[in-house]
Amino acid sequence: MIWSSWSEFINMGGYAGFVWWSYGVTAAFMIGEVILLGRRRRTVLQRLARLIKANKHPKTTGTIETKQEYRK
Amino acid sequence: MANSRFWLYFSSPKTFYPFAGKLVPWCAGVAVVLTVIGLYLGLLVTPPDYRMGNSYRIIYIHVPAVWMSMLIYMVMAGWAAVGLIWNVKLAEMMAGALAPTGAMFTFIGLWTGALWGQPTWGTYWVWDARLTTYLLLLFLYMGFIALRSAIDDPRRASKASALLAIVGAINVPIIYFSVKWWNTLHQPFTVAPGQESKIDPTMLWTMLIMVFAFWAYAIAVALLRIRSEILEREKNASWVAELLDSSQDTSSEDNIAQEKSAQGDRA
Repeated sequence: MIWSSWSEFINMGGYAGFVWWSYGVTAAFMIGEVILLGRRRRTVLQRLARLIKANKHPKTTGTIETKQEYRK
Repeated sequence: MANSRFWLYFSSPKTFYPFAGKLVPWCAGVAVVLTVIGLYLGLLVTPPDYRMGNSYRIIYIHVPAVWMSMLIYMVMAGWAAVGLIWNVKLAEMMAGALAPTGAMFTFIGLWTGALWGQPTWGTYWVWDARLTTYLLLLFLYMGFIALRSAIDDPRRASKASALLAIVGAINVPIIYFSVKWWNTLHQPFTVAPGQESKIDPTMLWTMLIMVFAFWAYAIAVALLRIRSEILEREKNASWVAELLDSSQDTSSEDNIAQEKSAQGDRA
């Protein structure tokens, strides 16, 4: 450990703005990408689940469009 | 030939989908562990630079991000070429899955570079060869992504964007050698193969740990993305229906229930 106090660590020898903006934005982008991918996966699974349901019970659920799409 | 059978096996989305699913947690785990070690060493252990003080700590994310952005571009162009030449659907999807992550790393490279340039050179930006060709890399990524989403037919979109990716690949060696060929404000190679490193070994190791962390991260997110892309593009394939049918009672139904309760909470 090279820092003697918490505030010294935060201050980064006077370069706090440059260092923390670099690390902060990088972290935000990388974590954000993972969150977006998780959301996309959930959306895809929901859409597919609806598509499969529509095919199983053609008379009760689903639009004609999705059924045709599924049969392709 | 066993070798060609191996590649054929993984060139089918049906077999690649579960394989990628098994790989993701491993890559993610490696990425998290290496990032924690790298950040600990980079922010708490390594000494300040004798000239740049603590501003040099940006190196631990700047260099890995820039390396990854160029490497991902070459891998992306390679998969795009495979998809174009041998008409392999999975290779096209692989190229598409890598592009957003590559673009993100390019932006991080530019962003951290600007924030490092100000305290070191006294300017956030300069139109020198290294910085300008590197900005071009971001535009190539954006063009690739835009072209893919602009064409409705996924096969045609992949072919058109593959050409752009392959032609644009010439930019990557230009970025790499720009500091050697032209007089740039950006410093020449600090670390390069076949040349003794000009930075302290503990700093070098910390940087390399972060490089491998970003590497594992990039593989994990690209695999996550390609899994969604496979489901989207293969939505009419029977194996997708079977796969979801067997897991519907657990995962996807749960997700729908969760989503509904979340919507209820919001309302």
